[in-house]
Amino acid sequence: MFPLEHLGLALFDGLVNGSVMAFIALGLTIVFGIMNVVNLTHGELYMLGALTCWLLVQSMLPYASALIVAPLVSGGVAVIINMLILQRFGHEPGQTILATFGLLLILQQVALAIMGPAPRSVQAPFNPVIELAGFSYSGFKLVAGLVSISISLLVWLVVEGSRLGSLLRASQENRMMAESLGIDTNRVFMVGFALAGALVGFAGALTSPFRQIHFLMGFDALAMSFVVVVLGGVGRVGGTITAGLALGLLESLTALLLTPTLARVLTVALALLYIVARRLGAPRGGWRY
Amino acid sequence: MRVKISALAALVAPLALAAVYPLLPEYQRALMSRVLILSIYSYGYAVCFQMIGLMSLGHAALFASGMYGAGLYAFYVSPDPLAALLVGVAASTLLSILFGLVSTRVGGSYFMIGTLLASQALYLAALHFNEVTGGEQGLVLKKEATIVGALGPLLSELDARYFTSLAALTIVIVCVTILSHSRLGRLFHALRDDEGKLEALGYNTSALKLVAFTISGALSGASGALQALLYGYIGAGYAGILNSVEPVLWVLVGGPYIQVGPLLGCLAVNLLSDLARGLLRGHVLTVGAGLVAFAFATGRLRWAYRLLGVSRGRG
Repeated sequence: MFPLEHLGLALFDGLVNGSVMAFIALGLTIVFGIMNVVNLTHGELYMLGALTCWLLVQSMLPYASALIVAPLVSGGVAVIINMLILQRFGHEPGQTILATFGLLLILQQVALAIMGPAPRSVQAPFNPVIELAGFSYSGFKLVAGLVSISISLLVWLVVEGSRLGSLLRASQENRMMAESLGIDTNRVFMVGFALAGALVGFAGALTSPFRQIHFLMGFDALAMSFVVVVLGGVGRVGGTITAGLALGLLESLTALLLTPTLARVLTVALALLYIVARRLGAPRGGWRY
Repeated sequence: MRVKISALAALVAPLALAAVYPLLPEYQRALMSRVLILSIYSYGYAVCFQMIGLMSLGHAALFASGMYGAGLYAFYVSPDPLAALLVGVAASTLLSILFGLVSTRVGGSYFMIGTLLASQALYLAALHFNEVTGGEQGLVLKKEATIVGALGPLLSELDARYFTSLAALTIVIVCVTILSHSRLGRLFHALRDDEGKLEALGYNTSALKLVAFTISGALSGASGALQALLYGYIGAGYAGILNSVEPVLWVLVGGPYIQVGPLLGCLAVNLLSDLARGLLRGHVLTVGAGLVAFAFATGRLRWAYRLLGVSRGRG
């Protein structure tokens, strides 16, 4: 029994959710996809963005101020993490994973200390109900989706077309060579981290009016970002956007038939199958049983 | 000579743990029996991480599969702790074969991301089927369905927990010590140190990884099953990410000797975090700070650096 009457809403909501999902994953595409740093604190930077938004709105500041402050906070924390910790061991994968996992736990506890264990919410600054063909939709969420997709496309253009994108790629592919050509790779990585942190912090503030703000919200964002980045093809910003939209559609269509949790389980399983089928990270040649 | 000393230490450790029990106050007895069960998990994790250098971030799912296998059997099918234990171990063995078949085919950081995602999928599934699993709140087993209940006429609750987990841990320590000195154990070490050379000598390295992963998963599941049957409680919290990453820290803190390291590391981290319990959820903070500290320390510790070698995607 496919509930046809909800199909229009599901497709539309899927596209909006997909744009948001892609936007959240965008920072991870830069840090993990392009710079090859497995940053497990990505989800916590998202949570920090939402937390900043909640704190500002609590202290009677306008919601719009959060859109400026949250990227600064998350970007700042990302830069500090990179400078004080990850850069010290040259972003070596094993050590990076240990350190960022530890930081993930610490940041969660910091958030718990600040906002307590209860889920919080933020009032949307404006929220007209928009009547579309056969269903009505939250105006704020629609705007958030549009903002997400526009910024994602802009970042895509910047990373593919500008000197920054080439610098990021060059520093990852051959650090020694890049340095001998006079590129300050530490500074390039710093810019990458700042950009990724600011983007995901902005996403945190942008999505907080229609999502619950909770100290454990980051891990789900991290897992979904990995799914989006991997399915979109590692290191390809355009792929991330497509994969985000496709997964958003897939999730809202499966959620019509199943519960949202089960839809999410299926999405994650799909990503796993993809990783295995493509044998990502495996050496060429000998894997046999 | 070094190897013999560490093997000797492995045999002395359980005796020392039995001898120290009468000296402990009640709170520490309860704490220690919890740590002993987790030490089995620590040994299980070490078989994968320390022996062949695969850092899995999804072992909580294997631990939880043992817990759910045993707990759900005891809750729904029959209140027989021994059968439940076997069902738990069987469930985790099957799941780890599945996990292993899938995850040993990918390398480098994808191994970690893959195991992380797989365990997250299972965690969400446990939450989804909450009519069966009890979800986040969990299920409480009837007393006669637990080991504590079965030993009730003989031992007090506290003693039963401590000595059952100590007995199980002793078996695990002996098995892991024998394994690390056996031909298979040497192949595991060789795999960790240079996978390419082992492959060139004609060994099937993927099969070796699968074997290590399965042993590791079965031990982790045994720990989960014991946890369920000694405390009479199963809950989705044990399938969460914290439970996946804690054993990484235990093994790293434990030091280079697999015969005693996992036990020492698990003891040290848990006793330390117990001291920090006065702080806000001090346990999580201790684990977090420990991981960051070890990320720095591995640059200086040669054995730990070698462990993380495979995660560098060198294989």
